[in-house]
Amino acid sequence: MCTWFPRWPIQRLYAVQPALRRQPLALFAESAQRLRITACCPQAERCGVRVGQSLADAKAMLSDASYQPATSEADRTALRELALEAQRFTPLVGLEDAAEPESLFWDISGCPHLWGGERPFFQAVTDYWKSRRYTVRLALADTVGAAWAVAHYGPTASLIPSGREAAVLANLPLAALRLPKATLSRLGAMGLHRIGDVQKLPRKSLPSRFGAELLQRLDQAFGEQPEWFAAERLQEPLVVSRTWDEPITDQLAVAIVNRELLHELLAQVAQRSCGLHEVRGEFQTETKTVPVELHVTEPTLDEAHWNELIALRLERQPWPGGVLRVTWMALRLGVLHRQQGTLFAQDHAADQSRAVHALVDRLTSRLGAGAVLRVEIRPDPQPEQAVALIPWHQPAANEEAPFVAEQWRSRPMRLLPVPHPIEVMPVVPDGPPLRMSWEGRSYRVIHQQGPERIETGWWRTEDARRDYYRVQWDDGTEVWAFRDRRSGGWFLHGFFD
Amino acid sequence: MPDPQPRKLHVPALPITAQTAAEGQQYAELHCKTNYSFLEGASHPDELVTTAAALGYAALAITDRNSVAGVVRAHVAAKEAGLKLLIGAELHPVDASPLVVWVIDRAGYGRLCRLITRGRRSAPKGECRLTAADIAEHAEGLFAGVPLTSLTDGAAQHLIRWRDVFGDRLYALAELHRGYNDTRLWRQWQQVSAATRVPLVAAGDIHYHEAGRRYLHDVVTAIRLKTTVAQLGAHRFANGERHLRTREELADLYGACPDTLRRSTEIADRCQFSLEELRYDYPEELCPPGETPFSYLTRLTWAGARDRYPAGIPDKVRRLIEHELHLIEQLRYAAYFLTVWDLVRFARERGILCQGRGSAANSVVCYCLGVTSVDPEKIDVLFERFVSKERDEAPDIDVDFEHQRREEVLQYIYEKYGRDRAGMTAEVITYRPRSAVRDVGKALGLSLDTVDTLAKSVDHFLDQTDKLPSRFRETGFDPASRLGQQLRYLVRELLGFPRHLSQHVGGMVLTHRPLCELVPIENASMPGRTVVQWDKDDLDALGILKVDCLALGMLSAIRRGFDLLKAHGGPSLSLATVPQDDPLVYQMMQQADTVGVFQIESRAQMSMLPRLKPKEYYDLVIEVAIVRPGPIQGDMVHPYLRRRSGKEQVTYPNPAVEEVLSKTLGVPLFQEQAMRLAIVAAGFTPGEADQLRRAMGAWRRTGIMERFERKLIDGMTANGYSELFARNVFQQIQGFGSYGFPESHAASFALLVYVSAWLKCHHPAVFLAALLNSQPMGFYAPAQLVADAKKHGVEVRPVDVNHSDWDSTLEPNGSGDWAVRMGWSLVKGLPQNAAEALVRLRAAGRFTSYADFTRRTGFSAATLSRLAAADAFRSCGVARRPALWQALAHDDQPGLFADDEEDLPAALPELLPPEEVVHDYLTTGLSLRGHPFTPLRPQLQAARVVPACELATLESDRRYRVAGLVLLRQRPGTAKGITFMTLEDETGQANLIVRPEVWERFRRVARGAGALIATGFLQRQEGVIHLLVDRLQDLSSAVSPVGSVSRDFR
Repeated sequence: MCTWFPRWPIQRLYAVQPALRRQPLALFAESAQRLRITACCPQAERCGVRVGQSLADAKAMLSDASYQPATSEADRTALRELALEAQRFTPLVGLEDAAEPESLFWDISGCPHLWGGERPFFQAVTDYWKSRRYTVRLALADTVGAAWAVAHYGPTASLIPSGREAAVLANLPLAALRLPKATLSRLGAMGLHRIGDVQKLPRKSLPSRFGAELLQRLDQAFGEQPEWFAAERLQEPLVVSRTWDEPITDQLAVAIVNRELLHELLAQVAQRSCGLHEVRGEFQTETKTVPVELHVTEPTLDEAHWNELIALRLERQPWPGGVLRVTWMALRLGVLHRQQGTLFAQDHAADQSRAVHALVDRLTSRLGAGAVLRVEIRPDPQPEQAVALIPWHQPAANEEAPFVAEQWRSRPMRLLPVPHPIEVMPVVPDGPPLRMSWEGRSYRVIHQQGPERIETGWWRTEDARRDYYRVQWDDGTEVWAFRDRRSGGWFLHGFFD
Repeated sequence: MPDPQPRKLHVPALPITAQTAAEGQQYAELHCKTNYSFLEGASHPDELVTTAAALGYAALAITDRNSVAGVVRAHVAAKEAGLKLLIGAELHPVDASPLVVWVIDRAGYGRLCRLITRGRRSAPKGECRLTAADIAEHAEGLFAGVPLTSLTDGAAQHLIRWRDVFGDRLYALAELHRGYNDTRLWRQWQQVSAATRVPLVAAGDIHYHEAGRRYLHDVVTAIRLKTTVAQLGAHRFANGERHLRTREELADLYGACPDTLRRSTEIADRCQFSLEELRYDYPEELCPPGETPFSYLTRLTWAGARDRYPAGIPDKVRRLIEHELHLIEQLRYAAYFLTVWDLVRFARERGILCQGRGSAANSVVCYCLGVTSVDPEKIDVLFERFVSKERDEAPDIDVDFEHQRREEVLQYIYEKYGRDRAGMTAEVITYRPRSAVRDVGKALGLSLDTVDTLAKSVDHFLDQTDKLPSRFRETGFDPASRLGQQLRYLVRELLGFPRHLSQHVGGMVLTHRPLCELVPIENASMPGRTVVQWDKDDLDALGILKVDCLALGMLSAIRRGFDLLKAHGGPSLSLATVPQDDPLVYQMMQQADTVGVFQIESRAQMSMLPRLKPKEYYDLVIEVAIVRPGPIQGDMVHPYLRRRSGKEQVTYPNPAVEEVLSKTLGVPLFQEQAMRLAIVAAGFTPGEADQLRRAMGAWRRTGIMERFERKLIDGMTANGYSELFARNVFQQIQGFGSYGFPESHAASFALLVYVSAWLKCHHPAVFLAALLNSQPMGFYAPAQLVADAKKHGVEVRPVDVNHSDWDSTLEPNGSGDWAVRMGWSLVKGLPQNAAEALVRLRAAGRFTSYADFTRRTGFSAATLSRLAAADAFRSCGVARRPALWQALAHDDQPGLFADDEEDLPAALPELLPPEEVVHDYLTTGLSLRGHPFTPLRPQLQAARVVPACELATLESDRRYRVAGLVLLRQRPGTAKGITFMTLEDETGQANLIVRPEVWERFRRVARGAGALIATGFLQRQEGVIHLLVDRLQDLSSAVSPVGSVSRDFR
């Protein structure tokens, strides 16, 4: 059996964002350095939008449509999920072998009788997709090729009785044979348009003129040659769990169970030659399920480490009442970093980094990701943008600035989060500061250096245009202050303590 | 972020500068990039020069990265501003620290050009690969400076290394930009300088002329690095200090050591080279020994005159020649004219048809030398108007050659002058609205499809930039948002910026000395091609000899026409000897029967012909020039037509204007007239008028345009013209700016119009064959040319293996005239070598059968299929489909099974006549059997659709329906959104006018359909027939295999 989801990318988006149904929709992708339409809904097509058209042309045709970037990888994945879903009807469902698949093949041998015959089965499948709001065309036939041909080009919802393929197929266009474009145009040039036209020709005259694929496809459709498809298989999830009849309230008992489960889980992970990266635990009480998610900096199989992390986390996140069921599942696996050791030398650096990772994992699991931060230097001239605190686990921005010691020496130790307005007495309007008032006291400037001019940030917020001075007050305090070149006002921005 | 309002130049007013000039330290900026360091500099050369002059600098050096591409523009501006200009470059050797060099004298300049040439030639296009050894070899005659900021450590070693090369001509550049470590740097530099005994000199590493350009600089940096402004990171300068600074600021910055400032002027003083020294470097070997170029030119001219006027040279011509020669001698142009003469002589010897045009070409001397074929008696030649003493610029002659043979001429030039003395001029590709929107949008981080939509919404260059906001709003992008304002501001700033150098279509520069000592030569994108760093305006400004060798399809067609005529018993003709003033030819043109005729075959020209009714040669000159954006934008067309038809009186405001405008009935139609008008009526100097023309062409908003507009309108109103007329003249000049079409060019083109019309009128078969063999060219596809020829009674025969050559040929048609046999060049995808092999093999005897053909040719299945699909085996008695069936079977083993003729399976369907037509279209783009619409006619008739040919006789101002293949869609920038479409059915063509609202309503059909039914009112006016459409209906599916043949919006 074949089910075709016409305009699958469009249908998939509808399923994810139903609101898109309200207006015409078209998808585009970049090809040959231009943005081209890859799929569109029937309504858009009625308005003149065509697949292959450039995006700008399409917009000229139809401006009030929604244009979304196409994601063929997501389309394929979603179709694969549908194939798994369809396995409620038969265990063998797979994707068609195409660059951008839109159809599912089903091997239904031995299944229809469960629904009381082919017709009720067919109806059940049809109703199922309809209830899921998918538009499909189904065809049931003896061969994969015939089912595909009829689903795409035959009458809707066709149930071809066994042995009747030949009659139905003969009337279908040659495109129903899944042939390449070049072959089709060559056939067209000879005035051959339907499958029946080709069947009437001497078989031996075909391959040399139209390629071997024509015969192969013909034979596949008519069952002269076998055709297979690969059924989708679900990757078995790594889950371990324990269930009790009576709720357990003893924390220690739960901790022991956790240890055991983790041991089992890690053993399964180890079989796959991977390290565990992210894990999810679920504690089911009588009233609710408490989830716990943990992850480590580097994938690892270190049981002690994981146990410690779980213990630390549960310390912070106790659950009320007794537990009926404990489940642990691996959410993400990762490549295990194994390094060949040297024979005698102790690999301090690696050990140290491992130790740091372990510490970070421990702290993070106890305090939360938002509490364990690291400093990132950003290549931004504006001082308050030059440094950012980010969660330890967050990957570095694509260009972290190198640390230039000299530049940081010219920056104050203590930078105010926000520049603070300050009163200043310069002699000349654009000149250096002579006297400053700060927190009610007035200071004489005994030494100053600058200006360092910083002008940046216009694309971000407002244009920062500042003249910074490093200033020493008469009480010895060294401060960093600037004159805002836009307003002329002075601001204190930091202290060199 | 910048204010959306146009900002004022951040240059202090002059009085202050004058004051500081008295007190302040003298300074010359020695390190300055223009925007010819592509996407590095953010100011035009002239902006930098004017600002430096206003700041009271002693001099300015232009030092672009491995380039001198911007120096000519700077030179012109510096001459005007009275600023001393230093020529230099910033060099980046691969194995040493970067270096800035300045030219001391002409020899040093030559060496710098040679050096850059070497670096550019040994790297891919746009890059430069130099080594320290290369620089050392060319170091004489150059000063050098090492920018110390570029040296992180080991500065002393670098300095010592360069000191060994340049000796006491080396300086260390101290460049301070108010960074965090200025003080320390300053201290370090002084130590290094003292230790190495290389003197410190102040410089600015200038990237733009005023601080406000730093926004644009961030943007161009992002464009160069293919990233966004937000992600520039360390590639961004921390502040906007790399602009030309006031001398007060400099005195403040370098106060600790004023010697560094003083030294900058010392260097400037010692550089004595000026680009003026490059003038008059014309090749001289063309004149034989013992003669000067001028004496030789004089001799050639008189000899030519005697040939042109065998009956004796008329007095008027004699006087003109004497006068022109006098001017040529005075202006030292003799070598230039000789060079052009030599090219034309070569082309003529090779039988390549050519014709000169352009200002200097319209002279009697050029007519006598054979450069042009327009008899000066025919048009009123006034040499000074084109080549003037006061303007002091190089003469301008473009020579058009046959498009298929221009390469031979280029090869001749290279051979004669050598690669080191001849080169292609560059074309500076600049930012246009669309590319500017695209690049700025990307740099600001807009999504790819937003950028795409915005860029597409900005039409091509006819559009004014003030329309940007409304264009943006149409696409749903808020122009008033912060991002919108930034985008608009930056796009406006970026417009006109050079992006890269490309190759000019035909400009050749020729020199006496080696070219690479005049200007650096670099690799072009086409392998093996090179291009100099200057474009034609630059060369013009320096008075360097250049000749534009352009390719023109119609010249190929005319030459082929002449050849065919001669080969088939006709007269032997040349451009100058085609019978002139033939009333039949003009009659044909008046009826707009001009498909295929040069220039006047477009729909706009065809609708003009019946109104203008050309009767003589000069009318053609006008016809060529009138349907152009200039006259149309300036609203000059209708007044001219009214005056010509006598509906309006011809008047002139005063005699001075009458002199300028008398030959066009008081309406300025030509570029020269508009310029003259600016001089005569608005008080411009000739130089200013020329500046105005140039300013119009470039995308610049330096305020020049506004200034000239004011001046022109004020000047003309003061002299008693209406403001409306003045505005129209200005608009017209504006139109000329982008599509200049001067009389001097129109005069030469008009001759080709006449000659091609003459061929069409008297030898339609020859004309058709000549056009078919010169494809691609012109306005119409072969299908329309063939259809038109058939209408004129020419018999056209299909391709056939026993009759066709590669080119279309003439065959006797049995009734004493000639029929055209279509050539293989018309069959899509048939390789020329196969076709030629076929013709060669046929010499041994005609092909008797399909099997005979395959055996003798041994062609591959692919080639046989092409021939079979084109139905070329009819003379072997094999129809299209059976032939194709056999051809397909051939596989990849030619000859192996050639003898087993397979029978056609009975089940294979026969081709019906309408299908044959469709297949004809698919293989050759035309059908001699009929039109795809012929079989549809009964249905169309039932739907009350009239054939196109009947429109001419039907009652006008009533509604009719026509149907046809869409041949053409056009929306001229001057037509207020109206779209012109042309339909073709089996009887002829129908012209549609689609108003914007109709277009909008039937947008899908109007824009996309390959064939359609149009309903509308028939309009007939002075012989022009249109259907004013109010309804469109798609008909594509009826003729879908033919597909779309339309040439849209070209």
